[in-house]
Amino acid sequence: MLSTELQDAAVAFGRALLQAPAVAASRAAAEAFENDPAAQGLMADLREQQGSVARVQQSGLAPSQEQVDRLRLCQAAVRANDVIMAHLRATNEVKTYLPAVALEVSAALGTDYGNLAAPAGC
Amino acid sequence: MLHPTTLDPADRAAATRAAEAEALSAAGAFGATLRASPEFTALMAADRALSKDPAATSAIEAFQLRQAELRVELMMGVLPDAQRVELERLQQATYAVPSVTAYVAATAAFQSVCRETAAVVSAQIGIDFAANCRSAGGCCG
Repeated sequence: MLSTELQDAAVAFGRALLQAPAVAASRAAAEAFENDPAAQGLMADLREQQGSVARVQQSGLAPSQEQVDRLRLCQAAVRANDVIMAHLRATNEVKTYLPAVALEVSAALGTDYGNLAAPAGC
Repeated sequence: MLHPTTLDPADRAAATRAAEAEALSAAGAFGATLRASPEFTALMAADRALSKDPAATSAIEAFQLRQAELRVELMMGVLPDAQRVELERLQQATYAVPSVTAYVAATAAFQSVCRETAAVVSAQIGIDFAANCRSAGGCCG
């Protein structure tokens, strides 16, 4: 159970992060993706094709040309989808931004917050 | 704060910088609050006690030395049973030193605080903060 001071400081930090452009853009892009059935369908297709090719490779066989072509078509469709690409870009930006902010926490703390906060066994 | 898209480019850039500066400032304040917590104070005290305890230092060194000597076997997964038992005995002897036990407990308590605070931040931003706050990414980034 966190003390009131820590709870309040964590909430204030979270609220300030919400206003940061990288976080705001990531949330907006994630919301756009979640509300776009076409984009979700393209990603589901891509995952299905990737899984299909991976299963064939794991069994020691080479995927057929038809499977490779289907995977390439799915990849091209994903790359051409603005919502998916915006979501990927925003996700990458926030993955760069959050460690930089965590460094600021670590600097004030005097030790590595990211390692301490990481899930057990991570 | 005005939404950045309603501002002209210069004001938008200024709003972006202000939001980033505010986030960094809040990060610093959050880190300072963590540093002032009883759990962090206890961890620092345990760390000092550990470093001044010759029994702890010698037990840790003995374990680390043997571990380094057996590194290749450990990495290859070919450590003979006798040496595995020896390593476990050295590790248990280390953990049995009271100052080491206290340090391990203090670390776990502060880790728990850090994880709880990260969960609060994650709930605020809708993104898993703990999984995304290490530059190396860890196993879940």
